[in-house]
Amino acid sequence: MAGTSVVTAVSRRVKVDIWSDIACPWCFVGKRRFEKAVAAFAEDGGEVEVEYHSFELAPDTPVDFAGSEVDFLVQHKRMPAEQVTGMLGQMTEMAATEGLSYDFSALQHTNTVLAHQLLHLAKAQGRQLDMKERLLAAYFEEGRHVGRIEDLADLAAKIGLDRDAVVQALTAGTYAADVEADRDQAVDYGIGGVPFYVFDSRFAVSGAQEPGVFEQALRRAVTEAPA
Amino acid sequence: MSPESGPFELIGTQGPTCEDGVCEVPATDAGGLASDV
Repeated sequence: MAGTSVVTAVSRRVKVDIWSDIACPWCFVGKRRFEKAVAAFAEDGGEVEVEYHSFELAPDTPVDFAGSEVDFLVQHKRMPAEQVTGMLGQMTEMAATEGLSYDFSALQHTNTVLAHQLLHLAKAQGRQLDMKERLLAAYFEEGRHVGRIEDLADLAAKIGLDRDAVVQALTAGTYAADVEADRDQAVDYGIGGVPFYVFDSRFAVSGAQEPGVFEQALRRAVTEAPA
Repeated sequence: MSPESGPFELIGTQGPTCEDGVCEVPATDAGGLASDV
């Protein structure tokens, strides 16, 4: 047909894979900074798909650690209590600049492997981002336990997931292999610390960078997409 | 394998992270990170 033109749509959708833990104060701060970049990117018509991946910072942590966060770092990392207290105070101040209310005095240190399994369950139901936010807030701001099945099921129910189904899946270890697969991929990628962000499998940002760095990565993923 | 030598092009410098259960901390005075602790 004469006059037919071919319009090539330029994709402005970027997939971002994020390796992160729950017990990771920089991961929550990084989440807020990343969200600011996503908002700016969206104002220009960009779309972002986010997928969280499991990364256990301290897989040897007991589910029920009897003591405070200060006690944990003193005992397990052999750090002086005064240094730990100062460090947590600084981290709390930093988080506050991002609108987060960290409460290390109430925090219940625990193993996060089941929380990661829950995130995979939530992903299967299209609710991973809500679950991630709920878990981070529960851990850092609300002093809630995020290592036991019943507590995790309560948190899952808060975002509308089926509580009984969560208990069943976590008891059976339905998503344990997914956590291990994420861990193996992190090793393959050479990821030693989190948060770690991968944009369209081509660009990466390591750490809780300022929003401008994330925005730069999002824009480069679009403008430098392979032909 | 470091991220720099991995399959991705790293954007920006290394930001603050947690590693092996320990996190970098911000300096009390403005600017930079104090150290790994």
